[in-house]
Amino acid sequence: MGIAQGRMNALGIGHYYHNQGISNAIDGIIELSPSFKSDVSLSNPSTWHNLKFTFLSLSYGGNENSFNKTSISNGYSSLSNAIWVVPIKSRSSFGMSLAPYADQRIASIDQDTSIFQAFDTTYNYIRSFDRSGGLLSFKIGTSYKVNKYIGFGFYYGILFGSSRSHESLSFGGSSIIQSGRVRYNGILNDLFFTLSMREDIKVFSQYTYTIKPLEGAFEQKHLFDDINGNGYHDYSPPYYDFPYPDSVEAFSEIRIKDLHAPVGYKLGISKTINSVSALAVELGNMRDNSKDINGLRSPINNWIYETNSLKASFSHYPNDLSLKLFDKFSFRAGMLYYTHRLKNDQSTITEIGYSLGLGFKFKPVGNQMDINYYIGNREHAGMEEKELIQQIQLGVSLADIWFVKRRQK
Amino acid sequence: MKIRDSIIKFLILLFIPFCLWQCSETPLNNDLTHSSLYIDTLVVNNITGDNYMVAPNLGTNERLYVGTKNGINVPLSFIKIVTPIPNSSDSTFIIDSLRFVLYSKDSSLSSNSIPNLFFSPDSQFDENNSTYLDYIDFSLSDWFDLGQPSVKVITDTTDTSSLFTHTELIWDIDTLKQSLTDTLDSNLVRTFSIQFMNNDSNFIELFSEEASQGEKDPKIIMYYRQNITSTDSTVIDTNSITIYSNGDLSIIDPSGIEPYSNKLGLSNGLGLRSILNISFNEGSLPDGSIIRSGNLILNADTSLTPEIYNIIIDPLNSDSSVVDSITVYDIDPYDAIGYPYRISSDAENGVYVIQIKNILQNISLGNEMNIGFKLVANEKNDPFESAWFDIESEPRPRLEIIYVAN
Repeated sequence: MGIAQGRMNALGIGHYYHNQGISNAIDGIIELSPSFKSDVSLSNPSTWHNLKFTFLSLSYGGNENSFNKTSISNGYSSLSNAIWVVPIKSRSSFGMSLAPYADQRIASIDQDTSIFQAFDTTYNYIRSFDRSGGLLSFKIGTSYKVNKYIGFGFYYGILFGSSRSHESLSFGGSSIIQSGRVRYNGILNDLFFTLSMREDIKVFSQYTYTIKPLEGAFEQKHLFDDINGNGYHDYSPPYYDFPYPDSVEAFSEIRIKDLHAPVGYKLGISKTINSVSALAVELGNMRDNSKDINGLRSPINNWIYETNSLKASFSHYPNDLSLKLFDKFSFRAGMLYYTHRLKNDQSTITEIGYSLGLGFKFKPVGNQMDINYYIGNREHAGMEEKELIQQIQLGVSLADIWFVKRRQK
Repeated sequence: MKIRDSIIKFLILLFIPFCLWQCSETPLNNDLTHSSLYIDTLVVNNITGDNYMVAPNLGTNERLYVGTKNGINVPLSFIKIVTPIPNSSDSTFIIDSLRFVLYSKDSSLSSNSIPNLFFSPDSQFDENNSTYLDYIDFSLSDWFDLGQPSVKVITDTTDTSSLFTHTELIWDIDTLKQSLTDTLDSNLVRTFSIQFMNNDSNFIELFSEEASQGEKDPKIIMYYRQNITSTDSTVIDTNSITIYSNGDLSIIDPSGIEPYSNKLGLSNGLGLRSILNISFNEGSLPDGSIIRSGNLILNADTSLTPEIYNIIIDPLNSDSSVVDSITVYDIDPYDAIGYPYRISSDAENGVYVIQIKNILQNISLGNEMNIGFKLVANEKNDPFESAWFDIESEPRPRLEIIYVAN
């Protein structure tokens, strides 16, 4: 798929998917508050037990990040979320989800050509940094309904993945390339809490903490002169990279212990307008307590250490009891505001985005198809030009009764 | 069943945007000055060298020489004939004449510059190993003297220009018919030798068997008649057969010449070679560096070195610290690695720039040891010329390295 995405892919361990528009097609822009049903948000385990059937939801998203003035546009598409939730007697639930967590795909080139003089010769050289790969998050969650007012949820999340980087310095007709590979693993947990303050007002919260900070096993290859120009250290007759691949060995693997250790919270409040509509507001703060991320080379020598978010949405749910076609549709609209604070120079990245979503419920069990569109403007400190983000998410959610022995007819 | 159908539908649904979404890749401009890769240089001036001498062997040279040139004496040259005269036992086969032919590119050979031809029915030399050290008390007095040749200047007859092409030196060797047809000894080797009868400063340069694909090789041409009898007639066929030489060698004796003691010298005729010691080891560059260029700069003494002279550098494979510069060695005491590190170089304005980054990189990686480098003259060079390099005065040899590290 596509290589480069937005500038944020070049930061730290990459661009976090939860900062890129909509997490999944069914929930829309808001995460904690219900949006596709009046009492369930798939992103919030503390609401899962309100599902009447086992639910499998898959979302696929296409993204485009562009800078209009400089005509730079990058796009890619991928599976954005897969989640499977099993409610247990309307009292508790169990679920699993798989979703991309961080995107490291980036191709960047130095904005200036540098000059180097040696032995009466002047060399022009230019640097570039390509990175691919990223992180996935596999979560196992559960919920428990204490009473009709209070519900708890818990996510145990495993981060894993790998990335490859190619840092090059081109001069004199070929590139000197430094290749590296990092394998990641870490454990993040989330606690969720839902409180029904009144019949029409509910409060939601999420607390994220790190059990095992993200660890990277970094293997650095030996520098090579890419004489055949294919980007790999290989034999490709008639041109042979220098030195021969079999004459060098990779350096010993280095373990970087603390690349990502987020801790943060989100608070949300939902106000039901009528039986099928609601307004919701969420705010959140996430701080990365990473200690060793500077040990990892990244195309931009910076990383996000704090993110503040504010989201608001209006949701119109389908009417489960109505037989009218119009009542099978759900509608979501929302907006968000992000402020990302970068560690090394204390600069900020701000983003304002808007989303529109439409869902169609079919079959008595509540199968649903969803489509969401997100558009946002991202402003990087020190850059005059804004980054335009567009995203389309498509989702299909299938509901059924699982693990129940059906009667013989 | 319903779930399966729904999943199939969903996969179809996924496939549509997957195909329609146009993935693209445009590099972003960033400030990458924080990159840890950097370019740097290293100059190695601590380079020493010594000459040593190996008795010259010009077995692969494309010329045969006799005489003296630039003070270097070539007392004689040998030519080997292994193939016997064919069909000598056939009664219908009548040898009319035998001619031994050598070729020269000199159009004005005088009688003083024409050597005598000698013959021995025995093997007298090894093309690849014989040197003047094997012939210190050697004499042709017991060889069969075939005298001087007739000289035939050949011009181009393909057009009207009549340009000179070469000169043929043709000896009548009919008297050797018996020696050349004797096939009782299957390993018989006949040896011819050429030598000037007087010891003045005459010099002649002839083509050796390496010079051409046969047309200018030393050879014997046998002219013959053959009677071919059928039922009612006899046909007499006249023709010739060429017997090519199987090896040749000029014996070069440089013993009367003393090389410069304060210069590095290379010469095939003198058997002069050099050893360079370059102060470069595994720790000379930062760990993990890669060499972009590693040029050994050798400034030739242009007053002593011809403008066109190819030299070869080859890293040593074994330590031979006992080698001295006085002894003339029968074989080269220094064993070099050869491929892929052997590099040849021509001079530009008297300066040799030899790219030796491959061996330097492998020394830096610890794959090879830097024991020293052997400098030799390319065997294609004129053996009577030599290249000289200042080692004790400016401009001294130096090694210029451009590398990238992190």
